[in-house]
Amino acid sequence: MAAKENTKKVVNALIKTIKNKKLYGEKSQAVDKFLEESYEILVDFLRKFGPLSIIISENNLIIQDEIVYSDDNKITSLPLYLYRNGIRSITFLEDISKNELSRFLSIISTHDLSGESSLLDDLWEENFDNILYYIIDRPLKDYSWVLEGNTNLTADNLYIQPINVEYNLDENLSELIQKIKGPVTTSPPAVLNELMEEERENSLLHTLFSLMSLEKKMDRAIEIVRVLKSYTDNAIKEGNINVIYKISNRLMEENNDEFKEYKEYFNEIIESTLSDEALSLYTTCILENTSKERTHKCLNLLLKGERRATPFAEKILAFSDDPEVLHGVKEMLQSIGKHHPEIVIHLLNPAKIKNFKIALEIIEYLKDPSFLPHLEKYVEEPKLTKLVLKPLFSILPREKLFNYIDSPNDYLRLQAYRYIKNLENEDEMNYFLNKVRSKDFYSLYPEEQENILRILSTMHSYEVIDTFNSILKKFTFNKYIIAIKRKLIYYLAKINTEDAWKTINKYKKSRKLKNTVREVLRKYGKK
Amino acid sequence: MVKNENLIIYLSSSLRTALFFEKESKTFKTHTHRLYNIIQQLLHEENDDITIDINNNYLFINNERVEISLEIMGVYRILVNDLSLRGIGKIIFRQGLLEEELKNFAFIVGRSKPLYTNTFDGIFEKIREEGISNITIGELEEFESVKEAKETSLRKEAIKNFLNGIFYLKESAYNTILGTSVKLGQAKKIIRGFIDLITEDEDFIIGLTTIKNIGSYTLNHSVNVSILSIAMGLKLNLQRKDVIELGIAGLFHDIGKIEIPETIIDKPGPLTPTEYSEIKKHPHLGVEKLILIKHMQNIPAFAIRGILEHHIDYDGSGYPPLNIETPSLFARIIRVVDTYDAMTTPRVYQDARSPFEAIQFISQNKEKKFDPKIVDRFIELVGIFPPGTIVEIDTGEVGIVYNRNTVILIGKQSKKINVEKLGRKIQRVLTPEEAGLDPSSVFIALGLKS
Repeated sequence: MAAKENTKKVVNALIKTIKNKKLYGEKSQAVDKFLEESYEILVDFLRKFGPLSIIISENNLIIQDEIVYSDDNKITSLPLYLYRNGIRSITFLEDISKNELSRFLSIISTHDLSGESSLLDDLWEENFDNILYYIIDRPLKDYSWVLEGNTNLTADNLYIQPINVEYNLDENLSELIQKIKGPVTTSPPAVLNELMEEERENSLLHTLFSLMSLEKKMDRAIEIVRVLKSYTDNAIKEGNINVIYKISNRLMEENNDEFKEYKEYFNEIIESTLSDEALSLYTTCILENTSKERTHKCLNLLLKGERRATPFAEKILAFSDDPEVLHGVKEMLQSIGKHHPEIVIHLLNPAKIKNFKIALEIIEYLKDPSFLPHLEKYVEEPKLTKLVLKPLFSILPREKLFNYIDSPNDYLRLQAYRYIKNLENEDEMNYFLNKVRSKDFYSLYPEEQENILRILSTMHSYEVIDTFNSILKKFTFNKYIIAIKRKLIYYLAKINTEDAWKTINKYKKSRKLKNTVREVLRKYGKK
Repeated sequence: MVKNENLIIYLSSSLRTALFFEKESKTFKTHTHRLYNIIQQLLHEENDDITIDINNNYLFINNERVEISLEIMGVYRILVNDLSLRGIGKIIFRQGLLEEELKNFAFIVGRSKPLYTNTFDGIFEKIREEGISNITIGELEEFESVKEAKETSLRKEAIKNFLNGIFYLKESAYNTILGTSVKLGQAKKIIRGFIDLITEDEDFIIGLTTIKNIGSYTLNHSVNVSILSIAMGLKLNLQRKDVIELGIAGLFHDIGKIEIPETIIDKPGPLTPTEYSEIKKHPHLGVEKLILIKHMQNIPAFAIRGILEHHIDYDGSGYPPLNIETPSLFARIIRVVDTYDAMTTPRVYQDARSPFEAIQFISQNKEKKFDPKIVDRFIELVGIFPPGTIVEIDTGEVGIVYNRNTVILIGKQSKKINVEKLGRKIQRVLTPEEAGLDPSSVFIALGLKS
């Protein structure tokens, strides 16, 4: 009794999925949901009650003599449709997989009615392991009259005589046969690996391009390119990323002299792969991020859209938090931004902070000074200063960097110091020496003082050593200045000239500095 | 009652799965595991052995006729058919049955060739060799009559399928010339028929390829190439959908010839270079035709590539000039079977070679013209003396090879001769002219038997 009650539930769930597949196609999330549900209900039933068999009559689905589903609509009735296609019963076995059920329901719901194949052919081709069905097939026409007169024999006077070519050979034949015979195999050859789905796609493309190269008549060749175009359009419609990816790459490869007559037609196909429909497909694919390989292909395809791809990339940025996806989009925009800086500027909108940050990373990568004015306007905005400075300094001309060293904004000034790794000429050296020599030097922030001295230490000049010495010899109990003096000992050691060591040695006996001096002497192997 | 039905379902599915999956595959093991559980439950409930009997196409379990619901009528018929055609009339599962025994048993039965006189003996022997002690089988009493009836109906079906292939191609050729659609639906149905028939009676279907020049050379030859390609696809364990495509490739491999004047195709003498260059266009003209026909929506990719490359040798030479290292798998298969069938067909410009000579030629040209692995599998398929080879055996009689184990003699009772266990020795191979015999007449006679 419990089994009977549950059968209705199973059948209704299956019918719901079929109807939805018919209505929304294969790619809809709603269909996935229905499939998931019906699979769970079916498997639960099979687990509890064993195989489920359904009889199909003209208008009904029947289980154990009870009608569990009925529909007498001549156009939409599922039982009638199955019945007309010859299906009389279906049995689901316990080990059915979701994929198997999905393929089965897809064939039933989306079977091609154009006459390309019958429902039976489609089901038979799939060779389901856990779905059995009983079908009445339409008989073939009988043309055997054609053969009448082709034989004067009758089966009644034909007799079977066993032979054995393996063990009882004539000598002459034996030798010949040994030459002919190949090795006996127990398993099929490995060549079958090539029959992967991917190879199928390669095969079609390969054939179409082969035909293009063989065909001398332009009008026919163009017809072949049109087939390629409709193949592409179909792949976009069906969301077959692999095919689109292959076509797109192949067209780029083949855009050479051999196919120069087709350039215009190839461009038309390329345009198809960059249509809004296609770009939207790639976007969904990236957002779904079902596999690394697929997402990578979609990113590559989207990239080819260049400027047109930017709004789609923005959509991805808005909806995805997946670090890998975001990284992929950033790389894609980097690539587009090289030739179209305006798309980066467009992203540089603080209202959309995710886009803003990615734009900054792209600017830092591209190092294009044309972005400068677009960044500078955010430098003084407290919330953005920190974000903007690194990319800004990476594209800032050196002379402009020195402007920031004179900035009244402490944070900007310090960051500018940090960004300067070394001095490039005497003017720069004098600029910093003047700062040290100025009476205001000791009123600067210790970190600022330290940075100035660090920068100076990159110039191995006597003037720098002499200036450092003048600080070292200054008598003080100020612990900050003492700390600076110790740093100077290190900087001098780094300068590592004879004059620098002479200066260091002068402070061997200084109470505050002798330990530091001893340490650098040891470190640099000086006595 | 339900358990009996489940026993039928899983015994049937285990035997069928054995056909397509290896013994250690998950799919096969899952089905036999289910079967094992059901048998164990029945053994436990009955506290006795479980005996399945077949009598007059009905199944009996422990002497009680199984009342079958309409839902599993199809599976029931398939099981009765599968067991009967192997000569099995009784199966006894004993207490103490091991799962491994059941798995080996299902595999042996599922993989055995139906419709052979010695199939039952072979299964019996293998069960003994495998040490399966808790399953016993008994021979179907009416096997000979079941076998004969089944063979007759299969052969009729095969002839039907064969001729439908020719008529379908003829219609497709007209449609192609007219530029209207070539519907693959009918082709798929015919090819599906061939696949089913090859699975049940491979020898006869291959024997049918001895029929030549019905309709026209190209039509008949194309159906033959399709049959042999399908048989190769099955031998190579290809998936069903790929075997269908291979069959399509075989059917349409010469469709490009409809664009070449018949005066060139059927020219009795040698071809001029211009004529030959016309002939060489047929692979790509054929593929173009197929893909440019408006309604050919889902282009079978492997098939069209196979057609395009079917005259390219294994070493890359041949035509059309495509500069490829190795032709595709389908092309390599068609290259072998196309050559075989063309060589064994009489043409206006050449006599037919014997199947044995064709095999010799193909074997001698391994590596250069033909993929050696495909050649080896092809020889495994048709044998050294392929069906239709006319041979003289050591009794001095002339017969036609039916399969690797039997020849067919005309007008003499076989039982009187069939005394030697090892069978007769082949003395020499004859041409149809020498023998005054058309090998196809034997297969046609068998197929037309009423």
